Amino acid sequence: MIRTQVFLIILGAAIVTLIPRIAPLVLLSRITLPGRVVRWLEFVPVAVLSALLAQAVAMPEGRLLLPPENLAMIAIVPVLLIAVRTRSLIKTVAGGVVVMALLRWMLG
Amino acid sequence: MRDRRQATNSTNTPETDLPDAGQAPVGRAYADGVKDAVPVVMGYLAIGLAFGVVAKTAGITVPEVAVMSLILYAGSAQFVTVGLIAAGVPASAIIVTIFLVNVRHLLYSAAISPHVRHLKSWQNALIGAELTDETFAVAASRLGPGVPAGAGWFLGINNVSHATWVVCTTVGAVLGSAITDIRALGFDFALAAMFAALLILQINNRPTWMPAVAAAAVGGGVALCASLVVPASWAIIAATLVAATVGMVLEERAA
Repeated sequence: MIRTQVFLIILGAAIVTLIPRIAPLVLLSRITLPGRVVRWLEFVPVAVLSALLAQAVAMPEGRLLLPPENLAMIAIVPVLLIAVRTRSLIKTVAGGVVVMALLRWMLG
Repeated sequence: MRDRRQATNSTNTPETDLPDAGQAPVGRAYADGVKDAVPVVMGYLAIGLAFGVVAKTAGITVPEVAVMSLILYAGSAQFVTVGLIAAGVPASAIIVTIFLVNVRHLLYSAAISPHVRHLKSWQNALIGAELTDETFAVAASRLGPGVPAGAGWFLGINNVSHATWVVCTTVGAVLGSAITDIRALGFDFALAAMFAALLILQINNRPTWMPAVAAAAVGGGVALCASLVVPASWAIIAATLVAATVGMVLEERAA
């Protein structure tokens, strides 16, 4: 069953989410951006990834959490080593899942 | 990860397991995109199931979960939406809140735009409609400076990620409390590991690594400090604005 009120909330939320997702892609791709803006945009992935990683590792439950409660902060050390060493996305993700499972098994 | 700048400036470029982004014929390109999305799929598995369980517990029905994942398709925003619906917050307030949570996509969409100048507007709209933190991160890490993104490749990443999200959240809602420990095994760490790997690959992609490492340190620091005073999604915006500027300025000085 889908309640009308809930559906309208979802629809409204979806529309206001589509705007920031689509507008820059459609509008900015039609104009030539100044070189400096393009170079700034080239740094957005590094910037976003460092922010997402910091939050995912330090705030796994949505708030700052330290070891031993926060196993992610321990697991990230071998995972970063795997990433630097292999430069492989798949190997790093698989390694991360295994490291986390082992940590839970040993410490949990 | 064959980025042109890297290919000319660096003599010992380490190989990665990633093929060229979007240069293949459409069918091949779509399949390449699907392959590139595997880490996202692994990550969405755990979070998707978790969301389904949480939503069901909060009184959202299975079809409502499916529709939400289909048309809203945004991890953190869906958790927020469910929380606000359960708390009886008025619809207008929920919609404004979700806009504020998701406004960071402006940055992702803008960062992709130089790579899709050769595509038609409707193709770019389709690509943007399924942009998330994770699909952006995966796609951006495959696009070196000036490298065009193939529409088929991008849709491959987007569609398989979106499909995984819809299926896993719905399954989570159906199973509900039957799943007791959704964190079992360690799949909940898949996305953090993916961000770590993509960050290392991104840093490796820059002509000199120092400015990128400095930007990453600043970005991580600002993201954590800012999240003490503003919501997590705004902390990401603040961190991105500061860190991208730091990286660009340092790289200009190094050049």
